[in-house]
Amino acid sequence: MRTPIIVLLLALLLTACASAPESTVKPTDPPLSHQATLVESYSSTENLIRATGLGNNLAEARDDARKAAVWFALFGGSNALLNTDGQRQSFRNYEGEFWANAMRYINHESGLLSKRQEAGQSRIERSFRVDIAKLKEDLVARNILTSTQALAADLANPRITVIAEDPQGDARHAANVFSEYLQDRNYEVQVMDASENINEIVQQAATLEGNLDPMYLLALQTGSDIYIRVDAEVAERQIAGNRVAQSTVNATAYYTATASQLGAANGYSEERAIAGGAALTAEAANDAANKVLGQINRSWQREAARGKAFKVVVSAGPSVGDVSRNVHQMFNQVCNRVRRNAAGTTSFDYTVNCEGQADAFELLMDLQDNYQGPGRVFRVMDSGAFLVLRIGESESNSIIIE
Amino acid sequence: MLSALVPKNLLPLLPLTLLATTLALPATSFAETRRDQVTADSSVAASERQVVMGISRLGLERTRFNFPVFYTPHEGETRPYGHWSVEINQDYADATLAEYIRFVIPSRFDRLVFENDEATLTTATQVFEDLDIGRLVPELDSRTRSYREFRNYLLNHLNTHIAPVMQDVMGAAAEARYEEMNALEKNTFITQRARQTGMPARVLEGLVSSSYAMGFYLPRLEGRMFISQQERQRYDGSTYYVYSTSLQAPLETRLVVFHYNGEEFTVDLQLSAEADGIFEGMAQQMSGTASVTTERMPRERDAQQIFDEAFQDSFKDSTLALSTQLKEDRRFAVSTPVLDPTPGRIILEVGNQEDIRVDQPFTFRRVIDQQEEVVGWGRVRKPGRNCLVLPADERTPSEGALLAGDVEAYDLAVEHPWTGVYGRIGASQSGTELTINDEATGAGATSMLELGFQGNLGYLFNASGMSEVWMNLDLGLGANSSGEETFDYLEGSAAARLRLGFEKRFHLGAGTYVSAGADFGAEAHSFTNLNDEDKNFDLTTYNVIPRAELGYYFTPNVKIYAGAAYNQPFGTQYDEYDDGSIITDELAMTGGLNVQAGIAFHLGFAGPFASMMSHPSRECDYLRQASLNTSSNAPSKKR
Repeated sequence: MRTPIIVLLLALLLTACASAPESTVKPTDPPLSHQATLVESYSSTENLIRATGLGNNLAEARDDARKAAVWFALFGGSNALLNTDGQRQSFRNYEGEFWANAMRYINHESGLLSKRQEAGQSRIERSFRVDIAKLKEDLVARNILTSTQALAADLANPRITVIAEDPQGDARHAANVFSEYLQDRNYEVQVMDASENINEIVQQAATLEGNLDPMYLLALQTGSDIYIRVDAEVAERQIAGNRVAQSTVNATAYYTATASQLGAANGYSEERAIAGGAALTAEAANDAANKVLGQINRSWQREAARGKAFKVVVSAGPSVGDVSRNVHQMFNQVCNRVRRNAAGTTSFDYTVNCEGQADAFELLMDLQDNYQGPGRVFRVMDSGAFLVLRIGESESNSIIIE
Repeated sequence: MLSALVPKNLLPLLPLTLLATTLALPATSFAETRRDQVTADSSVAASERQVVMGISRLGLERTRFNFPVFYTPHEGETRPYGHWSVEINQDYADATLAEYIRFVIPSRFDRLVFENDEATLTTATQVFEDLDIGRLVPELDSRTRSYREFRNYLLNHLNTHIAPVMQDVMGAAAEARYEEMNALEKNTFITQRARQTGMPARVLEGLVSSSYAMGFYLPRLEGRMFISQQERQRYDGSTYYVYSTSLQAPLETRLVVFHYNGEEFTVDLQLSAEADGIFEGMAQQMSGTASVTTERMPRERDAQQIFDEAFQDSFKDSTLALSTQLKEDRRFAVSTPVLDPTPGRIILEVGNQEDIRVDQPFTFRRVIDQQEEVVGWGRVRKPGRNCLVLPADERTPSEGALLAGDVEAYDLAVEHPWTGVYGRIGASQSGTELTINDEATGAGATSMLELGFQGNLGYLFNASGMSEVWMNLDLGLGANSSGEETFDYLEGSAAARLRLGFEKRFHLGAGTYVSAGADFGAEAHSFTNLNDEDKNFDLTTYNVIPRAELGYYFTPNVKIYAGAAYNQPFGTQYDEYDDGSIITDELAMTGGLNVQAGIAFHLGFAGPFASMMSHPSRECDYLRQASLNTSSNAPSKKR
């Protein structure tokens, strides 16, 4: 009597085993799926990511999708947190912790957006709001991002001027959103518009190099390390009596010292039926800011290795004669990278990369100490990464640019 | 035999298991727009509401119909009795259409109406009325036309007068409709941080450039009238005659669906309430039959009253058939992801807003290796009260049960087109026995072939208390067994049985069920006396038949069943032998076990149960109206 029961139980057990494959995935394992995409930067600390999860059942697939979302924040896209081999190498020592605690970094999870079964595996998609700040915090706590932090400590975040091309229109609103976005990420930001007055000295100093772009001049004036030109456009049309509009925000970032472009991005809103354009411009600006900030960060870190960049304009008074050699030597003694942009007999335009000087005033002091030549070095104007000097016998607020 | 009885479209279902592949779906990668990235794809997306314009004029091929009349005098031969004609008035036809159009266009659709120079668009939560369309939409004329002419006439009318203003009318309600959509953009910057609905233009374009217009048409009626003279007896024993007049004129109403694609209307679907198979034909005949009994010989003018009655029921049944056919198109069927897959309490976010009724079947579908497959099916036990006008926390989802196959969370539940009515064919063997003067004869055991209909009362009445309560109406035809030993001169001849009963089913899973019920039956038995053919006789018994049954569903549409019953007569009626002499022996039938088995299949017509079908729920419409009336800030919107 017992034998058939045992056989039956064994058969049931075998059937159960056959129908529900045992999971071989451990919580500390990396995601099976590496399919994820950035939907948008949701806030200063959160990214919205749509991720795919794979597993033997829905629960496994859901866990895998969470890991895939975190994986994307760490490794994927243009703004990955771990973007050097060293960082990635360091991460390997701790990755189990991160995968096992993937939910710690997820602030919100959508319902199922897709569900399929492929080759016996469940494949699902969900969107996740990944807390980038928390993830970064934990990476720093484990010294995975140490080198980046040290760099940041040496150099601090760049000061950024956001300049709206059109002071009245959507560009101003986009610039404000840009500014909020950057401030949320601990950048020192100033918002200006192209109509603001430009100091005469700045204008004169820039004449030598020949770049009289008012926005460049504004950036020099405000002393920012980087300036971003922001332009916005809202295109609209009618659909069945409903106004629909789409905002495009164009952002181009430049080094103030060199006026060279370090990044550019267009941000788009969806075309939407919506009253006004402010929300759309905000959506597009948010998109553009997210894109351009990644470029800024990467370039800034690269640039940081060379030292902080300054634009220095020197005007020599008539009484000191030819000081071009002395000026050049002065820069070479203080800074590790010196580039002469333009020069006349009595005026010189330099871009220098220096280590140890946080701002133009500190650079001034070092230059004054290291100047060897006729006359003395006087400060005409300094603002962040821009310094205007006069070499002469006496102090004066005016410079002469040839 | 079976293939002749089963509707042709069900034949392929017979050998199918539940894993029937129904629709190939392309694999989707990440979609293009931000909204696409945060909304569900077709593997789990709930269906969206459609705008439908029901054309209020019923197209008629003719307004006067001629029916051949047959007269059967008492104990006489049936003979032709000429032709009678009836009329259908356009207003009456339109009023009948208005009465039953909600079976085809219930509150799951947003409804659009044009009248004079104004339009009204009613969504689940709003009414956009008095929308000035800046032109006069002429009324449809009432000329009779062929179907083809009517279809072209409607198409021309729609494209000439309606299409040019459609986008503007639809645009007026687009925002409200967007807010009622399942696929709303959620948790994105624009919706959360900018706190804007921000309907994407692509969605708006979709909303204003897709809608449907539905036109109904009644082709020429084919029917017959029968007058039967019947003898009746008064209390004093005297006799008199009455005349029973019946009309069989099933309507084969047609539905033409026009699709508006943003520019023009085109013919999209053409459906016809035509019976498919003998059973559907019988069902349609039953709903298309009306009769009246008069004390005098009816005249032609009496035919109109009978016709009007038959017209109502038959038209209702034809709209039920059209509604069922329409749901075979996924655009018009409700689908929703399974929120909770607990087999005994499956949660679906649908309900009375979508006209989901008690015991409505749903198939559960999953995309497996790029193809959508049916993995199981179940029925709704308790329809949700989910009117969109109710606050979200006051809405309740539908609760259902898995009846066969498998279900897991986020499988897509798709409404199965259903009338709640099955036809069935089976065989039964009864162990009843004729007794003569209390002596068992051995005769009277019947073997029958039974044809019948079963209707789900929970679905028909949309009453949760009647979930899985089925009503049946069966007609059995067969033969009696012959007598034995001293009664071997009795040869059993024809037997017939009419059964009307109820049963309650209890589903066991894997497509099986058991049921318990009882029938009231009337049986007619004929016996031949081999010794003296003048002594042939008939008797009728009235029986109570408690029964139990075991059944198995191959698909939601096809099942087999077998059961046992006890056939207990409680009354016997007999009068005279064939030669007219009075039967003096005491005849009776004993009770006996009855076994039966058969196959049942879903019918596209409600047939004998059509008149019982309750109207679609209007609760959501009433709640919306009440909400609009009481809300001082949100009266009916005007553009």
